[in-house]
Amino acid sequence: MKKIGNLLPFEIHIAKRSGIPTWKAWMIRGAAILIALLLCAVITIIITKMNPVTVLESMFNGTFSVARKRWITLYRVAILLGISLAVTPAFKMRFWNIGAEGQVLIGAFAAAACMFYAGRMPFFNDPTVSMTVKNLVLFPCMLIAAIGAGALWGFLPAFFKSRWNTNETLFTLMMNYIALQIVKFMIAFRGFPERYLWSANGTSVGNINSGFQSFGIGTFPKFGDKPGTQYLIPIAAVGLLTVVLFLYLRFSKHGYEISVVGESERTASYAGIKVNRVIVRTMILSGALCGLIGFLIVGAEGTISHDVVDGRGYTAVMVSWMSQFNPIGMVFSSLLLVFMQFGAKEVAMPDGVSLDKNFANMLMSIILFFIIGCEFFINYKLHYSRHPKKEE
Amino acid sequence: MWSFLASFIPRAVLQGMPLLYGSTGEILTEKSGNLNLGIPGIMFVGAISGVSGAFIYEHSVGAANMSGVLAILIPLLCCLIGSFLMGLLYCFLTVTLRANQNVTGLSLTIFGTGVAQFLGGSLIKLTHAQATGVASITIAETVKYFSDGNTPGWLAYSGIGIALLTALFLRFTRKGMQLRAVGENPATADAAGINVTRYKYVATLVGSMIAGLGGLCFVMECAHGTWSEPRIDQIGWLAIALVIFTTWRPAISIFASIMFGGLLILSEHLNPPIGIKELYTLIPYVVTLIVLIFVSLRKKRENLPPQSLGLAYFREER
Repeated sequence: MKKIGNLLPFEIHIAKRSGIPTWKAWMIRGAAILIALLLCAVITIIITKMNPVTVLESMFNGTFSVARKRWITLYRVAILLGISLAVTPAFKMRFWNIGAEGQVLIGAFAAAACMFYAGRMPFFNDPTVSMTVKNLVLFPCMLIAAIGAGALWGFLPAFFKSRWNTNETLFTLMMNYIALQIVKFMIAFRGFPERYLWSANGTSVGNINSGFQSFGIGTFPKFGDKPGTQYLIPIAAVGLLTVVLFLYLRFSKHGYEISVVGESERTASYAGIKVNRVIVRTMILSGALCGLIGFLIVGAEGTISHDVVDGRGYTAVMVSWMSQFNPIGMVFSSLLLVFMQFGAKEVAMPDGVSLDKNFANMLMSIILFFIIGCEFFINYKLHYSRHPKKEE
Repeated sequence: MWSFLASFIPRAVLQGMPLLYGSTGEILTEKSGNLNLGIPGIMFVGAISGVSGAFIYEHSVGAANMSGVLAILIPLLCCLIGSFLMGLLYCFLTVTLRANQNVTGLSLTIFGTGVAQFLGGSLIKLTHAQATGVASITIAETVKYFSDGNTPGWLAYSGIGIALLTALFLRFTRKGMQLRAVGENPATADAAGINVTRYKYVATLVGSMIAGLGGLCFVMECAHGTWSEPRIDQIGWLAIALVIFTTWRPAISIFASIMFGGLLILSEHLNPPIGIKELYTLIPYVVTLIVLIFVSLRKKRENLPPQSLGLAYFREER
């Protein structure tokens, strides 16, 4: 068989670079992203057969045109950013956790359960107690339950990984399905006494406690009765989380240990870092943060369903990698992703087909392919040389 | 009891075959040292390529003029090409550009799922532009050439053949042994004169095509040729779990796949009250978890994964 390399007029030799200036590395990444975006534009034009400006315009209309849409878009960015931040410590440690979907869902489930059963308690149905007091009691309960549930979902795979080297990718994945089925079960199950049934019809919950006097407890307040302001708390919380996590990863001893373990487990243990402890600790943190996001979702939306996370646990992994684990980069990546996912829905083509979330995911993974592919040109150098004369 | 088993077992076998295709493909891939987490995406793309091919053929010539050979060959070829291209993308990124295999695989899954669901959704909307609430397309005529309904058809049974062939190939042929050498220690294989890059490429590409057939098998036989947001990703992930469960042995995977196929359809067959059904659906995942833990507890040398699994190979780095 003829070697493909011989068909080229020159020979390529690959050598590892010993180092590359940071600005040069970012030039390469920038070029890769630019090419990827151009390719995405070309694909969109081919599929929609529409003017790219019109496409962008309708995407923009769908996400930023009026105040209500701006709030929702910001909220969606916050949630995606939050989950991306939550998965980052584990990924930086090269722990292949794809269980964010389940960790967020189980957190949301725990928060919703608190809200639900509180609504059946006499204290929360007492009209003499003010709404503020009820919420001040309920919010901490929801928060602790959500964080605890998420942390448990993160702890289990880490524990088995550190003890017996159980494959964490599949472990976390199965935990996703388990969380999913638990939520589906609670919604569909008809065996509880009437007042403890989660949903009236067994398919969707609707607003939790909507049939009870305690309606409205456990959901975030609207500020000044303006619609959309219930999203303010999640947005602010994730904003704070971004800063804290940035500092944690960059400046704390824990953050340093995480990056050493990620670079090489052997180096870490030679340096006296207890690798297993770091793995378990980081995964508990990761799961707990996911649980926190679950709480924020339930608090803002006041309901629960099996698709409340809607695949964002997986997209968050892309966001985290695209930004090279940099929290500031993640803000922009999640903004771009949310813009593409929810803007795409507004792009309706003449023949009745419209773009959707799947289309946005497709484009996003193309961008990611370019980003992970371009690392090659950062780590390796290509030398070209003419073919030496054949000796025969 | 007997009547229950008589109806249950053929369906368990049928449901197990996509899993078997997926796990056989992944075993072949992993034996070359490539950990391809893109299998769910590849199965998705294989399925939608086959379905689109069949759909276009069926609607362009009409049911009466369809020839049996083309009705089988078109979906089959489309499926193979689709999954081949996905495998090529994975190989180029991980082998040639030495990208991280985990991330490449994960994004390949997201990519494949996105492509398949978008194309499938668009096909549905194009055919039912007026009708609302219709959320599926059917290739009823093509399916007749694949299976008769509730018993496994020829594509399903071929899965067993492919698994057996793969097992024999890995164990008894020279090429199979060289492939395993590449997966265990590429540097040694390289020194022995084996072309590591070529082996990695070929094994991964063939593995992807086998997995892609699993996607086609799922749509054509398990779903009776109906496409409405199928849960192929779930099948793909379970297939990857099966690889660990069977400790990289395609022959054992035949029985394991049928067992998992049975677990997958248990909830439909026992017909439990609403709600409890969701707990039955939980069983395959819990079993997988227990199996994962159990396998990691037993540390026998022959049960370990290929030693270089997940690592990129660069000749000058030793």
